Amino acid sequence: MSAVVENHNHHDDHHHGPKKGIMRWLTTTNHKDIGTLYLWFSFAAFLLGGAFAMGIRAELFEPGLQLMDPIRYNQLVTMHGLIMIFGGVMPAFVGLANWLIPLQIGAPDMAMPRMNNLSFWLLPTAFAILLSTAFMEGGMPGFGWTFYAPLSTNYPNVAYFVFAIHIMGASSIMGSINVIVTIMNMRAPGMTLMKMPLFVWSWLITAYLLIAVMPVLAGAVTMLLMDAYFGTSFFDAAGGGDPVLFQHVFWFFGHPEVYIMILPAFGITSHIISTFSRKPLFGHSSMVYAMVSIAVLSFVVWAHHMFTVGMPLVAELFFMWATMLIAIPTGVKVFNWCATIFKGSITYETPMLFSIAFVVLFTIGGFSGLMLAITPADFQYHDTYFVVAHFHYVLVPGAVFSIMAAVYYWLPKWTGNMYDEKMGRLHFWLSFAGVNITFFPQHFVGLAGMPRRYADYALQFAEWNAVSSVGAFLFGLSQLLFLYIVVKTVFAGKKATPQVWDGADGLEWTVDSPAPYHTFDVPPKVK
Amino acid sequence: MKNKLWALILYPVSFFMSADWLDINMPVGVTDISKEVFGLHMAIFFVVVAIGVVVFGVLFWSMWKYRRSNNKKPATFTENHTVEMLWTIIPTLILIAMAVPASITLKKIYDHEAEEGGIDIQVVGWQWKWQYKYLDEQVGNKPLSFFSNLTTPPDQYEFNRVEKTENYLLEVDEPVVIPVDTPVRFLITSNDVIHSWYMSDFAVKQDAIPGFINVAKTKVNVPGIYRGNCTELCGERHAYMPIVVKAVTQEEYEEWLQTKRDLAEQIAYLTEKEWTPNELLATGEEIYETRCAACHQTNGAGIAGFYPALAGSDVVMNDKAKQIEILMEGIRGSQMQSFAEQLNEVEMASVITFTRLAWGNERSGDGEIVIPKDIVEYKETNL
Amino acid sequence: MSGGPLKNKVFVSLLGAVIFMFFFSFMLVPLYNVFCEVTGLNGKIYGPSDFFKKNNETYERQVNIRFLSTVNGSAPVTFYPSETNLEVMTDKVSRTSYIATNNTNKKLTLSIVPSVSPGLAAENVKKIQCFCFSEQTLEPYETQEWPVRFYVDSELSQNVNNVYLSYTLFEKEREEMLAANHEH
Repeated sequence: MSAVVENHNHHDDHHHGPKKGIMRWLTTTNHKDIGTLYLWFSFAAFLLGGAFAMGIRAELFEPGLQLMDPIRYNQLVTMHGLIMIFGGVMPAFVGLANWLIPLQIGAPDMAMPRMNNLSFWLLPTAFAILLSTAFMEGGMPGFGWTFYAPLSTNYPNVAYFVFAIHIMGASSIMGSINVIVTIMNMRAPGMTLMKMPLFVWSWLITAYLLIAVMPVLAGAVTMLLMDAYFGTSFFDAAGGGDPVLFQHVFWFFGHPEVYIMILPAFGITSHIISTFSRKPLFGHSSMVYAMVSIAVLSFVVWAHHMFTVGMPLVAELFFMWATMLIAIPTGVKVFNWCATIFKGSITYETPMLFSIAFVVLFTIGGFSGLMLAITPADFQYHDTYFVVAHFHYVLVPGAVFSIMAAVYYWLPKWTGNMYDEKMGRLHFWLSFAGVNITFFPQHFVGLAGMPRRYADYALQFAEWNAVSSVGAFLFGLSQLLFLYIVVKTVFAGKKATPQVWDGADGLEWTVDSPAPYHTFDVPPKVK
Repeated sequence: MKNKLWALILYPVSFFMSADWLDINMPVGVTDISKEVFGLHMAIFFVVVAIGVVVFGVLFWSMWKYRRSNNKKPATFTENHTVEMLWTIIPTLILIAMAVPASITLKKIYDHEAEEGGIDIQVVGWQWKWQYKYLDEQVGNKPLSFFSNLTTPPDQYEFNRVEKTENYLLEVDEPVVIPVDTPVRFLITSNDVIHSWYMSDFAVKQDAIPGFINVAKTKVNVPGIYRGNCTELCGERHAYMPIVVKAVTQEEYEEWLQTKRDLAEQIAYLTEKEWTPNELLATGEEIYETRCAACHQTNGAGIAGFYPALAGSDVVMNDKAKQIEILMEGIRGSQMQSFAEQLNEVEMASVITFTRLAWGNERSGDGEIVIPKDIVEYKETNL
Repeated sequence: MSGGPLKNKVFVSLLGAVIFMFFFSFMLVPLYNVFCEVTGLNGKIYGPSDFFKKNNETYERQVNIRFLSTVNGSAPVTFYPSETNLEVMTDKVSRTSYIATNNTNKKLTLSIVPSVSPGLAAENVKKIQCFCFSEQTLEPYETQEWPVRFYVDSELSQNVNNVYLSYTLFEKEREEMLAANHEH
């Protein structure tokens, strides 16, 4: 625990922490420093995973193999997925949690600061191990991020992959234990559970989901490792195992994982929409209940990823109905956001633009999700580009847009400087156009029957794939603009007031901008 | 300069003119089920579009109406139980209205015994080809079986060396032939990793899982050639194992079966014939391109670290017996399969002869050819 | 937080939850098998059945049973059913066989895995004798005939009149070779 009780209310430059230079970042236990580390790590992963995506889209720009052989292509597809999920989206949310949860609940820091440091530094370690396979004979994993057995059990370098996943899992578990313990024990006096800001709520639920499913992922990769190297046959029919069992175990983790990547986005969006509508959020408690029911339902819908494995009719019916149920709480959330906007007094700064785009495009992703739930139709959609379009709509303009919105929204609080609004809007419109040009045509090729994870495709899909590739490069390149805007804001910009946004509400807006290195040493009172 | 400018303008124009822009929806297909699935797809599509129009309509209207310059004073309400009830109940009703017809169609898809009779075809997914076994047709004591390999030549997909033809990546050497208006049950399994047999026009997609058998039933109403793909990532050449189904009339189907039976007899004759190297070379090269070149490459150089070179290989140049053994038995523990069931005696001898004479192997090695009889002898002494 | 995290109830219970979930993922394996056995989810057949346990024999229905074979991983074995299909009466014991030939000059150890379609019929196809209950060995170039004795339970669902019984043959050694191949 921090022994230093500093009362530097005007600690203007947060780059002067207790330690100087690199050691500050290696040994820091400060939640703001760790949050910053997570966010930069996630941004680096986002660019790397994005570079892989550019490789994929460049290859798919026209039919034929132009740039790489299919082995390399499969590796890019796999690594793109793994990096974006475990290195991009999840660490970004953990970074936001680190920065914001103590500030929003009026706590001086996270409950377990040293574990917090460890859980961050495990991440680069895990990715170093995963990426080191690029320099080995046999190369990077190329079996898709879902690593279905028995393709993965007979793949080179699978042990490195398993080890990396174990470390990432440990990091996430530590992070979420920290979040729950912090929220349960360190809220400012007067902040009851139902008074907690929605971002905190969304993270509380997410953290429980992580604790429930990351160990299952660890179990799945452990069984895989044992099958590959120690002669067990969990997933090998020859020894009495079942390859379908792998998919059940994997998706028992995988489906809650999907919600892990979207629940914090719900929290962020609720804050931003309310702030820029200058109106309290509509249905605060129904938002909480909706998130809880989505989280609970996420444990009983996993097999909708497996409608084509040959399950009996009863199972297919059950998973279809359960999956369709999820549309109800999700719908409630979207309606609540619309009702918050209704009769507000709205301005459209960059965070609001990203959040509105989130609501619209995430809903489109939800619509295609509903279509995918219809089992007979899923026999057509399954494993085609329609699915790729669906989950990119919920992940890119969904999770990623909400992260960008959050960065713009809280950046003045973190750095003390306002970002360049014109540049921010330009970044938004370029990203918005890029995302839609990239992923909307993928619905078309998917419906027309183009399977996913194909290095090469039939001529009838050529045109829309070309369009999609152009959009991908537009989206990819406009993220360099994002990097420029953020870096510029860190070093310069109009000074921000503590309140920053006139409609903003919450404890984080009561401290100075930039937030001092130590905040809430004396807990605030919440009425 | 002027020409280049024109090309710059004309290229996108010609590109837009030539495109299949309208190929953007699910095919209606040629079976009763596929039509029903298409109906469900369109129904749910219109439902979500309608919901989208209403929700986004309200959203965009509020965004415009309540912009700050138009509405300085925001309202402060945070709840409205009536509206909240409504937007929980109405979606629930819509969902039930969707789920009921979907469940009915699903039940039909699962009813494999709705009709009597029909034929059974066992489908086996291999890395990276499909094998079909007609369980009702016996040749000798085994079911009639053949492999369906991609025929698009590597020159079309590697670096686009030659112009792509119409059915690029959707063409195979031997399509599955099925009769129309007859129930056909595909019994799908796999030889190695998980594959998935996907035929959009029949609304059939079923995973091929090693050690397990899955059934997919179809009844095609319209004769024609239908093309599909493998839809479960199965390794390197996942995109290169298409499915082609040829649906024909009952008479044509019988004829086709007869030619398959005749072929089996013919092979028995061909193996007795005296062969010249040139005859074997021609067939051999063709087989090499479809079966071997994907891994060992057209120039026989292989891929270092993955697939051994055949050009300059000691076995290929000097050890005829060993080479036959490798093709017959495969190399266990590697990607090299046994081709004993995939190639007949003539094909086997031709492709071996081709590799022994091509790429300078003839000059550096013993230059001996292999004739179909050698393969027959190998089988007789060893089996 | 005074007293360190280990004194914190929330922390300890979360740690417990993590450990429990890790073991739970392994428990999913037997749970899944039990679940499959009860529901026939994946069409697997578990172990031999004892015909004599059944007391009231009723030869009431005719069922068509079709035999399939698959050789996994292009193992050098020829493997096929001696009969393609049989019309059997429910509850009456029938006999058929599969023929397997070793195409190499090495001794092979094989395991054979059965699968039934439709999956829900799996529990009704009762095997009294089967080569799939234990590993089989084939001497170099040897051909063996492997008998199966089974009956179809009359509790088989009324809408099922066709049952597919499939066997997939795996070569034991090949699996080990693939694993060894990894390390290089």
